[in-house]
Amino acid sequence: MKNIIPLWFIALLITLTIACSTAPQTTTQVGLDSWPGLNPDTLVTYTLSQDRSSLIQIEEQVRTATPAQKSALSTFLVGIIQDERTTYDGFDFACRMLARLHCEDSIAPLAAYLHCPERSDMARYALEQIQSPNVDAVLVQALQKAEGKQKLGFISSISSRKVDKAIPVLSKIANGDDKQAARSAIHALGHIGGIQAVRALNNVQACECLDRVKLNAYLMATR
Amino acid sequence: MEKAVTMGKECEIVMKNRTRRSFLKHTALAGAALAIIPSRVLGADAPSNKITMAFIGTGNNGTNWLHQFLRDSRVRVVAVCDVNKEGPGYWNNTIRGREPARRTVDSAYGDTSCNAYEDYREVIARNDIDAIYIGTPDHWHGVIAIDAANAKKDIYGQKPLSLTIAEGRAMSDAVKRNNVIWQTGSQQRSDSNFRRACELVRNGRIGTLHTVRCGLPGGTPDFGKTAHLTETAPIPEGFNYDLWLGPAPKAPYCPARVGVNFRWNLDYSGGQITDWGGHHPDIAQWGMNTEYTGPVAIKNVKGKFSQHPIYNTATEYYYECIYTNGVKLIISNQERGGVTFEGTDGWVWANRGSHKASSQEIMESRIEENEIHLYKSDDHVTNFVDCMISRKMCVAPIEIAHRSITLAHLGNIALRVGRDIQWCPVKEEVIDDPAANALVSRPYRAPWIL
Repeated sequence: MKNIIPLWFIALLITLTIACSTAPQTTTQVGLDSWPGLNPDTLVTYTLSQDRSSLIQIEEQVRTATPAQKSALSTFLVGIIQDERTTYDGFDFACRMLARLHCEDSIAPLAAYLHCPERSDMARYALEQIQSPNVDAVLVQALQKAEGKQKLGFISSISSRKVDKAIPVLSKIANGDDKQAARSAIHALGHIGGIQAVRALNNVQACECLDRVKLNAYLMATR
Repeated sequence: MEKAVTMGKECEIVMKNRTRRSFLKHTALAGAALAIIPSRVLGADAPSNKITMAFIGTGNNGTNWLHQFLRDSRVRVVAVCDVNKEGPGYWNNTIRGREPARRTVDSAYGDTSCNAYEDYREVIARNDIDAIYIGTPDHWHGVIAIDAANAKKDIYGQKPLSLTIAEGRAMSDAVKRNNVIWQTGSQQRSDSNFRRACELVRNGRIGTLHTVRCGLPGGTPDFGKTAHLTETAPIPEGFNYDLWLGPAPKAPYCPARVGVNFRWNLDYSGGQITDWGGHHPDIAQWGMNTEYTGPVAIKNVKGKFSQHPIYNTATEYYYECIYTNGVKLIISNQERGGVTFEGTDGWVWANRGSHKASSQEIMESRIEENEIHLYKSDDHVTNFVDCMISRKMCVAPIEIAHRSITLAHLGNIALRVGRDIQWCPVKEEVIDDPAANALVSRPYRAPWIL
């Protein structure tokens, strides 16, 4: 058995690499039957207000999974999020479970949705909770390309995770014309804190209407 | 510093530099010194001489507590705010919202001066409002409280304090940073039965404390009579559902989700564990003298979750909070309702309206002057208003509330991951368990930020 597990992991990684490269796909291409007892169609077609018993079953599996089982469950759920037929509610549930599983191999498939208008929030929801430096990198990269609400979402996640590598990007946004984004960026700099963030705050030339936000950020940063 | 002895422009400039609150404090002191002058001469009842308050969230608790504040003549409620204009789904499917609340205020004052708002940000932007009451669903507490504290408003914030531990930390820090007065709506701290029980424990009347039991309710009671309305439905007119969701994940509208039953969905609350977590476990920490710290482990976790299409909070639960001194705090829906402190020489039990002890000697024991006397408040609203004037700490300050509700959040985290967890109360982190530690905070839906 000891010899089999590494091979199994390698097989999973190969499967995921293929899956991540061309998201979204259909369920059959990512081997959704890799988790016995769970019917992928239940999740693919799920809408809120339906019976939740199969979802509860999955959640219970997530709760009690061993590390090896977690990886297999993650593969199953990645398949769900990559299936183009999956409903928003099915996607929502899969993201919540991926957040709980904390598998590195779910980062790239989730990141593929960060710029999808409908699904960005839930993909970010899952990623924000996965404690990995790879998530930090993904979020900083996503922030550089984002606009509007998505940009605000990435700033929120970066702030929550205290990603100090995001300070230069935040600094740029804090000095930009988008007042709402500037407000969030200043707040995030305060929340991240530390000398670098304080230096960035020193260089913020925001409008007077953000003076109170800036002052508050200073107080947070230097606590 | 404030040398305003002449009237006119100079005085106006000085007044601008004084906060409205310090003015009220000074007025109150002057009022006490000149008590022989009838109040009608000074115009003490004039709205401008009162603490101005706004109520944000006028559903269940907001409406109930509004009546309490309207009875305090030192306060003037000038605004109410709710994302719902008027509609059903509250206690026993009653009609509530900002318009019923506005009518209540206007009726109490006999005028039409109360303003009604849909968006809390408009309320907080008003410089003439001294204090706010937060009675929204739990997932809104953090954002509103922090914005209000940053705007230098005093705050009466309903329990449970927060949706997550990270939110509670940010809220407590914001209140401290801005030096505003905070009262948590954990009114059991103003109930003499609980205070007496805690004083008996703190002064060693039951010997060395070893176990504390908190008996909380279980289930997901259908308070709003809407639990069966789970089908996606059109959003009622006058209800800003997107603003109701706020930082919570997007979800289709259905009556079962909103109103008073919001409490049974983990996106908006923590179920019975957090609903009551702001009460009995708070009293437990008061008696244990652990108000500014917390347990180091959560053990022997057992629970069941709702299988309702919309509700997913724990319906049955048991867990033990272990403290560094070995004291075990049990939180469960299977324990006797209230708080029971067990020591080497006896026990004390307290619940709303009564307390008991293992012996008559303990029950009748007098707390001497040189012993520990806990903060005395006999009325939670009065205590808040008193403290807004005196600028002293309330009986239920935010840091204590944060530490109390942390017990509930930790219970929910352990139940959700299905295992024991180790907790560092200093760093406020789950130790060596990234998946559990991730649940210490919660991602916010854009554009909201903690």
